[in-house]
Amino acid sequence: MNPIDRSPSRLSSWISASAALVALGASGFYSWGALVAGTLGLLLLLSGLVRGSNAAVTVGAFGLFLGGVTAGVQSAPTVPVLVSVTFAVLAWDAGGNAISIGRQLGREADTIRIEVTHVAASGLVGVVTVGLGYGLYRTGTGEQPVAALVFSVLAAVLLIEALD
Amino acid sequence: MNYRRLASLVGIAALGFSLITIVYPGLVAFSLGPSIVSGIGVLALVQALRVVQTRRHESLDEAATPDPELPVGTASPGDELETVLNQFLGSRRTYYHRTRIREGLRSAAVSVLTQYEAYTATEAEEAVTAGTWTDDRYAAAFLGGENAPSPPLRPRLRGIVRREAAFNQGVRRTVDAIAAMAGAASGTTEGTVDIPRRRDSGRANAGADPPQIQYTTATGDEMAQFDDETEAIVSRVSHSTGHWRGVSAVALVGIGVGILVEQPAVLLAGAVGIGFAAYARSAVLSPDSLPPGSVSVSRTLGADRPEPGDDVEVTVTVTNESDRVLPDLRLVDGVPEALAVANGSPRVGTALRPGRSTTFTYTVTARRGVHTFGPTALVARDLTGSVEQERLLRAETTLACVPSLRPLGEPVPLRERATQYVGRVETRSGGDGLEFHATREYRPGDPMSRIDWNRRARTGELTTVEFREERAATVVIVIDARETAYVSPARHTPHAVDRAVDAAGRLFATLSDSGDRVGIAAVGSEPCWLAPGSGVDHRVKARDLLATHRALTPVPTATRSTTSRSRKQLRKRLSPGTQIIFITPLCDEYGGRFARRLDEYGYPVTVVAPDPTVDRAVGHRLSRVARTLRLTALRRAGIPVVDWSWDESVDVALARHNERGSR
Repeated sequence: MNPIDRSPSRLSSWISASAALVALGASGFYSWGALVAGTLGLLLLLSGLVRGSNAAVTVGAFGLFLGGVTAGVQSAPTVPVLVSVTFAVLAWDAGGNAISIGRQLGREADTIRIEVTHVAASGLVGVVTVGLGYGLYRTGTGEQPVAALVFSVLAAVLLIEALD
Repeated sequence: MNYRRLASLVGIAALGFSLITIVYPGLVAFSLGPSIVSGIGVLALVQALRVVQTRRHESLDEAATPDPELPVGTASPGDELETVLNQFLGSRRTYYHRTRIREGLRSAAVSVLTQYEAYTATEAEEAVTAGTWTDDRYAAAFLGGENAPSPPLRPRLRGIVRREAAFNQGVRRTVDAIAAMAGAASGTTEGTVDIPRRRDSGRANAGADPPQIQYTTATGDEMAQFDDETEAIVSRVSHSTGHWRGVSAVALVGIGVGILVEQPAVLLAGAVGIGFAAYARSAVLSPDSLPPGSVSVSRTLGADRPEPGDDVEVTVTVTNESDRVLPDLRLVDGVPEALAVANGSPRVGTALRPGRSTTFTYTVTARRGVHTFGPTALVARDLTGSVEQERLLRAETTLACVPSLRPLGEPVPLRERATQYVGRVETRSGGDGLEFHATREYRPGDPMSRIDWNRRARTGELTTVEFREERAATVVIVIDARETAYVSPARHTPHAVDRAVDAAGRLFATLSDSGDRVGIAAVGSEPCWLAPGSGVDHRVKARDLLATHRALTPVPTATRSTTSRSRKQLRKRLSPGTQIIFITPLCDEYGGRFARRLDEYGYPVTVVAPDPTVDRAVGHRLSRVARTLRLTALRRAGIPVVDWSWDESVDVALARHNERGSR
């Protein structure tokens, strides 16, 4: 007879928190700025998961992402930066999903299948993109003119804008 | 739209250029200055800022699911202080909120004084104005005129600073003083004062629970939306949830910063963002991709005809009937609005491959009545979670719970007046029976066994002994099932109508066991009448009527009761001399008036009044006072009232009543 417990679902919350920890761990060792931004982001994200606040999770994940970028700016190696940014996005995604499942179905319900499916799909996307990007980066260094890079970047910016 | 098309055209052109430069590095003759490169970086960052702003200003648009776990709650009498006060005020209405409260309490005090303290109406008015009616100085001052005693100095000073608090305290002390006089006090002066600022109306809106999203598709007109063909209705077409909104900021920040600081790692981080942004846009859940009938739901119940209070297991099977994977299905089963979920959750989140199905179970606590499970609400999302669709899936199941009729251990207190049938109402006239009534002169034809032989031996006179005749009564049990009778001490406990129906069943069984002719009627949203009768068939009819009649539904219906019409109808149907047992919580004026009216028309009325009042707050306490007043008024009018307190069974209440009556 108790009201429904609508706090974020457990599994996705744990996945989100772990992903956030990985994101912080990957970038935090390379710069103080990354450590500060990442820690603040992690705390905010955790509080968002506890309270079921989507805004806190989003801002927290953004902090983790900025931590990754800061580490990159301060010449951290490519792999940790990529890992940090990818896991920040995954933490955000899983956290948002946890909150939405909690709101729609509550904690009591059996929601493992949709949680696992969702996280697995997002994780696969992360792995494939990082793999592709990193592969291109490793194979194509130095040979291409700057113009090619600049044009492709411009193309990316404009296409994102067009799709948004 | 044009801007988008332009952006995409230029973007594709830029992509082409970059490919050309990779294949033929020499073709592009011009070189790009660092300022242009920085410009692109800044452009990307500005765009990122815009994306972030969009995310900030637009909230997520996700489906809100219904809450079928809890049954519809019922209010407690006196949840709204003003409703109670209006009962005292009668037709008088004052505009100002505080004046209304003061006036209402004043009439309450006057009524209590005239009822219990042997004051006349004018004396009571004077006593209230002079403040001599109570020892409580706060209460006396609150209702009193200029010459009334004033409250102690300190709270008066505090009252200057906090007027609201002082007023509330006055209200509380006054109600307590009134309750103490009426004998309805609990002894505590604690409790909350929640004087409503505005008048709310509507059913069961009290309590701190969040408003429940009702979906009463089970019965009523909404069901008509389902045609014979369709298995589901789309309650909301595909729409973006906004789950991934803002992910392109990752791409834009990465690219912008990466270009400006010339760090390939950061630029690649931007590429990660592009990947996720593209993934988020790959959402494919157009209205066509989830055709009607692609998800089906079926439901089975663990028990066919449970008794009230039994736990019934509900098993729901969800099947993917389409030929594609459905990665994110969120279902909330349509638990009937009168039933509470006891165990488990009527919700599930599942992913289903084509043709596969999954089951989930939960248990509900059975309750009297016929309960139809509503459609199952489905929220279907695509893999990314950025698009969702809402629908209602049809799956009709009915749970009927018809409690058996158990007789009481106590005789039913009926009034003296009876029909010509032999039964158990002891009359004042002599005849055949068990109890001695009188002796009279022998008349030829009197049976031998009735001659008083002792007297004959003693005096030589021939006399005949007469016994009190016992005749059957015709009884109609009338249940108060008006909207306002759906009250209970706590929000989610059985309410007064539940109690009344339960008691009616037991009274019916007891009376018909002892040979009385019993009928059932209800005053409420729908006409409900079972003519007095006897026999097995009649009993079965009564049992079904009590369990399943629409006028006695376990949840209050929204339709307004047509009470004056049902009284007239009832009068037409009653044969002269019919006894009435009226079961009502007596929480508003109607119950008492109804009983008195019928009694005046010559139908002996007995009132059985379950007491749902509580003393949590001021309004509740005042409501209890009002009920006690009504009870006393009825008793003074010669109508027996069985005051049935909430925590005892109807047997105990009747036993107490019988004992008091016999003394």
